[in-house]
Amino acid sequence: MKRMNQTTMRRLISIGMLLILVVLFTILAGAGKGKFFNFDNLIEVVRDASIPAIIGVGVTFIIITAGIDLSTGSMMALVGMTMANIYAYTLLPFSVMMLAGILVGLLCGLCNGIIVAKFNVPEFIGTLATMSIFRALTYIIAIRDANGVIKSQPMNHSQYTWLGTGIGKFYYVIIAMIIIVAAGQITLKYTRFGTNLYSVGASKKAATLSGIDVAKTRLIAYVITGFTVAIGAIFTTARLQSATTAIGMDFEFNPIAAAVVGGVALSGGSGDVIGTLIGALFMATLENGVRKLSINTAYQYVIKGAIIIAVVIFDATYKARMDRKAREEGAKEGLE
Amino acid sequence: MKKRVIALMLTAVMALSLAACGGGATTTREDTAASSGTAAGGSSNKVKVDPYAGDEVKIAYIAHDIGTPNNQGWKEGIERECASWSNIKVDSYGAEESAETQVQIMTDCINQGYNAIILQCSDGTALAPSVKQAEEAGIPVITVNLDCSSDTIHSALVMAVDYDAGRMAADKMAEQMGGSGKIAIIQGVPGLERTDNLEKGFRDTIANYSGIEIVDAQSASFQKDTAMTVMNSFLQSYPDLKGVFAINDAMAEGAALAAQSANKKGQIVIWGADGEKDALAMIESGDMAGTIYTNSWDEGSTAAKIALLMIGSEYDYTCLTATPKVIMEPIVVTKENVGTIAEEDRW
Repeated sequence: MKRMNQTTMRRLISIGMLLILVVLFTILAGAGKGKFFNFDNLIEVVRDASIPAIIGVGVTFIIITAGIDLSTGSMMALVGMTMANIYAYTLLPFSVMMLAGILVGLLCGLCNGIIVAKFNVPEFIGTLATMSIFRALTYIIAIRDANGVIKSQPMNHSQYTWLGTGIGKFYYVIIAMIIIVAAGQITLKYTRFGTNLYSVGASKKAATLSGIDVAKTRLIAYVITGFTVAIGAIFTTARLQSATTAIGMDFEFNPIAAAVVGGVALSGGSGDVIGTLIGALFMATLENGVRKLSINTAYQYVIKGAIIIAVVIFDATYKARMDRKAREEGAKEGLE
Repeated sequence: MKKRVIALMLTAVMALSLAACGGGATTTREDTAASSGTAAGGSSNKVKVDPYAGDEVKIAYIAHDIGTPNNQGWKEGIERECASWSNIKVDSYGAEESAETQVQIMTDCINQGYNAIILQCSDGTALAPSVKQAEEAGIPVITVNLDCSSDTIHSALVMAVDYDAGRMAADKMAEQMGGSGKIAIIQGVPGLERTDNLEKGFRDTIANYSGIEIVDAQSASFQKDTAMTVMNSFLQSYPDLKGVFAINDAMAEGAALAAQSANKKGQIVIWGADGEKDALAMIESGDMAGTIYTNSWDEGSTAAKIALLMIGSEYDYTCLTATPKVIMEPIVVTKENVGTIAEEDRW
């Protein structure tokens, strides 16, 4: 008796939703010249999905441990502004500038990790607090003109902006996304750390009893998120060719939404990076497609919200059903 | 009548800036039409179509935050201008106040092959590469009020007066305050040329009045509700505050509401800029002291006119040595003259 397990089924559902959306937009927006389903547009969708997918890798790790990170958007701004300062005030090479950005990302992630994992502050509150702290720090270190008015710092040297382009239409950000998603998936499925993440998410108590350092595992997940955010910030500033204080405003929900749509349960212990990638693609497709239909863009938020609620309800009811079934089977076996 | 004057003014501006094209610019229309619409300036990406002769044309309008009265005013102006031609289609996009989203929408619009883009930049520096990319692809970009960084030459900038509007507001405010007292400024999103210039003009003029002191300046990101909070903190820190200059009307309205709930209605001289409907009503009721009025509908339709002109012309940005600016006429509105702005001109 072979039954499809939940992971496979959930994967098929998210792929199915993505395909349905693509087909739907192809039909609705495809009349005539095919506004949606053409290579130029689809590659643009993947490009738009890249940043949430890259940052989503770290966020997925955190959500698998049953945590959450609300500070990723502000962290992006802080990393961007740090690099802008180095760009504006020093003559250091761009590689050093990017390394400094990554270092700031790692430090931010470490802060989150220490607050959440070492001091046991609830993730939601802890990262909500760092969200405003990181944003405020961005304003504090922002570049100002002679009158003290904040200005956006151009970062348009060709040795940096090439990152925002690509080999033809194959943007570097997409290549980076593929590498990071692959690395994330391998870490998750084939390393002890990955297994530990699932164990911590499934039950912290059981994980502790089986000898897993829960605090360390959670902390590393936050540090990894800091790294992915820094990579996201580098590509964002390279594409914008500038750093502003508003970068990443309201961004934090995108990777979370991508993960949830892709089957990473907020209750922890399930899901993977590929799922998050599918979720990110789904969100980007939705945004892009709604624009093509010339309808009010506000509807995309209604659709996004509705889909998130629907998948969460599915995840919850499916989990409850499976638990009940397992209990019933267990009871039956007990009787025999 | 007014529109015709603007159109004339506009043509003059365009002609002046196109003069940079030199000899090539004198080619007759028939000649260029024969050479399949390639620009006299040298770029070959721009495809000339004639919107007034029935060619299918689509224009994208991309706003920083499409919900605000200003953006709605421009949108309506653009749509009205194009409504008479069934072959002209206008699509409006909102960037949800995010430069990243706006850049994505710009790329999208370039890919979709819009004939022109009317853009209110979320961030001048961040949008500059996209504007350049669009112009290189042969899509004229007309910025409205919020321009991209000045070294990116594009088809046109339609703007309300900024520096001088700040000066006008300052003079009238100083008069209303009797030449003495403390003033606070409520800023918009920092780094935008228009708002920075407004503030600069205001500060430069206030400096002439020795009795008036600017005690504080805080940002409220153009938002009414944020401005209320900022105003409340001003009222706490400076009990003797006599004047507030907000960079846009929405924030002035917020400040006026905060003053009202602190029982200081009419005691504080509150000024805004833009001249939206609600602000004019608040000036009538005495909650606000004044504003600098610009007709947003005219501004939108002017932007659309330039867009159509550029679509139908053989010239593109390569002919320009600087971005042509079309400056909308400002009116200083106080309680005395607010009645002269007719209902049909209130947006």
